[in-house]
Amino acid sequence: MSIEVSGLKKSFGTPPQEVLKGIDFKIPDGEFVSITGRSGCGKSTLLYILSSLDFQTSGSVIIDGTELSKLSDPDLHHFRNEKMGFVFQFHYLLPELTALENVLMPARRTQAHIKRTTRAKEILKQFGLENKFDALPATLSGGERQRVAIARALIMDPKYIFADEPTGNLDSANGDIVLKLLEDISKSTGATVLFVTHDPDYAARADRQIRMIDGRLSD
Amino acid sequence: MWFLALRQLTARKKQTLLVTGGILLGTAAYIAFSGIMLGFQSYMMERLVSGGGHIRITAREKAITREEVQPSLYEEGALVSWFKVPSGRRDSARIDHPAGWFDRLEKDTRVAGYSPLLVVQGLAKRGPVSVAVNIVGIEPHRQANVTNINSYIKNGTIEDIGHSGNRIIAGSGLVNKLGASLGETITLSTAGGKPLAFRVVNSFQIGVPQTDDVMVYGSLSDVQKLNGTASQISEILIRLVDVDLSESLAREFGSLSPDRVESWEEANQGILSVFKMQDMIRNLMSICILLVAGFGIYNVLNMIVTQKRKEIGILRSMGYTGAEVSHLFLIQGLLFGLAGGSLGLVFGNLVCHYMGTLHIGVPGSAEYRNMMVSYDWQIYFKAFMLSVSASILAGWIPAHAAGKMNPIDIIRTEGS
Repeated sequence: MSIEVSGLKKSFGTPPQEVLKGIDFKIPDGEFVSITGRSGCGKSTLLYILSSLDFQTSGSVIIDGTELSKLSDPDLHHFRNEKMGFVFQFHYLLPELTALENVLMPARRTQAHIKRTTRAKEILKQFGLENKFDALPATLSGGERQRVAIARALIMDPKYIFADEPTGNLDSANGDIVLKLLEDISKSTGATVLFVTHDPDYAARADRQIRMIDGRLSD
Repeated sequence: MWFLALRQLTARKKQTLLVTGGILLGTAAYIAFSGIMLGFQSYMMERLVSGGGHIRITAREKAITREEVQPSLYEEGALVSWFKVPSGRRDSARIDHPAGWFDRLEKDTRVAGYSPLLVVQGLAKRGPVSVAVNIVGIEPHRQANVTNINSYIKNGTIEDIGHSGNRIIAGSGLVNKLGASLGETITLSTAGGKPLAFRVVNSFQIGVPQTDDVMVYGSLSDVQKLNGTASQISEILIRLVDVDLSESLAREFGSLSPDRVESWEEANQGILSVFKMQDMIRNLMSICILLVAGFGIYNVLNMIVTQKRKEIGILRSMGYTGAEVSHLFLIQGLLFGLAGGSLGLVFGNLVCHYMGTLHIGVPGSAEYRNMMVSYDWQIYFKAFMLSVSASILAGWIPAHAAGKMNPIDIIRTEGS
């Protein structure tokens, strides 16, 4: 199993308010998984804990055989850099960098950006952005920016891709393109993709749906 | 992170230029201030050191005491009760054993030269005009060797007065007061001797009225004759091979004789303390200027950190550590310091060169010259280090704050 979650709980604030109330599931390698539920049900919190951006109050998350909460800070950053890709609702591209430079930012951390330039161009071409290598984010459309953000998530050939409402800020045409890209990536690279969505149609396209109600899995 | 830091700086050209300009001005101001002040100080030092010798030996003035007077007036053992106790200065201050000093100074390899003087107060008279003067008897070649008097004499040297022949070189102010012209004869008199006629062969202008208006140089033997004190001297000026030894040698010489031995530092303590004060003010002003520039950097970087929260969050999600994110902003502070500091060095140097072309002093006087400006490498090194360290320090606070930001907090707040 690539992701194993058991007894996962998360509380916020004082007095503590429990947002995740004991979650258990397993996701095998290469699965395309959607996480759905109403606003405030804890789906984004679950995604952030799975992706090591946040930590649980109790329980465990084991990814690739490694319990994330037990990793040291440098090891955790290294793990995240090498094995995880993130796509957010907002593209969060660095406005001073071109599309190609933005895509290569994760690779720069390990000085692998030169080696990965060809790969970055390939991904951008695949996403229909072959003419936008040197374009600054401000000159791109919303859909193009989100595609660049997905390309950035893929540059390190991650084993896990986490997407928090990747279509949430896009019109339906661009939303379809983005979801199709994520689907294709999962199939072509064998990466495990977890995405949070409010849209039941998009959720239905996943291999598996995780539905959440008030901090628990629905079934 | 250098790549991203450079990109962020070049993307914000206006802010970058503004902050770099602040550092540039701070650095240049430090260099210009320091150059001018240290230039002035070295000019004054040169005058103080070269004008009065490195060490001055003067006769210690002695007061009359009752123990000295009583034996010459009363028998030994007499019980004397004074209505008015004898007091007052002895007739004249003189160095009691000049030959001993000369012998010692000749043999001392640390001494580059010495000049014996007899300084007496007197009166200069030309026709109905009388002026109180200080008459300085010198051996011209020795005085020229020990002091820089010749640089204050136009069209001649101190040796024009010769070793005898009643020739004098007077201060320019005094010559004007007397209405005399060069080659004319004036009368000098002192309390101890008869008035004698002296020919004014030249004049000097130091630029200090207290000297130029009252001082007259004559040959030592002529002044001794005028004062009726043959072979007597009141001062010895000494020039050392190494000026830095002046204080220790003054202490050493002072322990050998009752005469007063003063180094130039001791004699000019007042001026040196003014220099110290100047240095303090200079450093304080420079620190203030750089603090203002530093606050500029701090404000800009702080603002950038707030503006760049989203980017910080995404960098962290890509696996960049807090320390790497800190570096991003620290590098920007450092680049501000390096660029502003380097340009400030060039601009400060240009300002110094310009200041060096300005003339100071009274036009036509021997002292009319360009402003002395110091180009000491230490000023430039200190200015550069100050600007770079102020920039790093100013950048460190927002950089540290950026490194401490929790990616999930940023993503949650920016996404909501």
